[in-house]
Amino acid sequence: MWTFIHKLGSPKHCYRIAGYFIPYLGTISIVCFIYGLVGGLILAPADYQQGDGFRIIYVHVPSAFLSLSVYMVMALSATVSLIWRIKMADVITKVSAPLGATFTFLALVTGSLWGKPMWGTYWVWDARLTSELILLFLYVGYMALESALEDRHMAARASNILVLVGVVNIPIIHYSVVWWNTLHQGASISLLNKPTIAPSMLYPLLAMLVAFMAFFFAVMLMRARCEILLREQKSNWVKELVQTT
Amino acid sequence: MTLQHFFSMGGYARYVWPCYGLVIGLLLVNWWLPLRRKRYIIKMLARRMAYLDKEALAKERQGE
Repeated sequence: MWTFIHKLGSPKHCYRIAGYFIPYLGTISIVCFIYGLVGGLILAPADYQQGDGFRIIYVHVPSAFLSLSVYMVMALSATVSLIWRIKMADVITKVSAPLGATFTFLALVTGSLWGKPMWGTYWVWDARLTSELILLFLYVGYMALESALEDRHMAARASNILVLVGVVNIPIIHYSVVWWNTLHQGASISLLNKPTIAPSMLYPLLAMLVAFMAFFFAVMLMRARCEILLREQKSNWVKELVQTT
Repeated sequence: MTLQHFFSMGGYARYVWPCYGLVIGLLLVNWWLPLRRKRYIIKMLARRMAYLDKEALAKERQGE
């Protein structure tokens, strides 16, 4: 067990293990995505209030869910990096940020495209929307800070602290629909309660959630591999790898 | 569901299709960027190594 954990900290093994998982994650993502598209766009019946406009949730909800979970992944790896100084944790925090920013951006845009026909406006300064926008700024701020500092260790430390400070925003986003009177509707699915939507609408949504998660991990590992190659370019295994390809 | 209904999305086509287009587009870009970057990094490292090898060889010859 400990040797396994020890190996995980070594860049060479990280590179290899990541390469092993990427094809599986990619396949899961594509299969679930196609099922989600067919189920969400064709098989699921139109909503009795929102007509076919509700089909936007099949991309909106997974994006929004991932925008929060990617931040939690970053917070976790930032903590690991600050406490145990594991190099690979820095890599994970760094390569997750652009993906998190993408999901946040998608959640905001798909949300406002849904809001126009349903609420009558693209944007309102309501608690859920505003806190999600702040999340986007956190991602962008992290990336800017990380790339602005010349010294890599310094950059990692400073930006990790920024990530941890930003964690405060996550429960605010999650509970904003409960704490404040907002336009945004409450959650239809949660871990603890029975979902309040019909199975024919629910399953494609769950498939999309799985697809987005697998997508995130696949692309995160792909980016991590690039980052490892760059950081370890002076080590022998990278030289051998470059010569054989 | 008829084909026409599918494309018009019950009148919501203006909102639904851009959403799906944007999501699929951005996801594909995110998928493609690290692939391109990895190719670029390996090419760059190979070039750098070739250059360093040549330099080392030249130094060896000078030393002779």
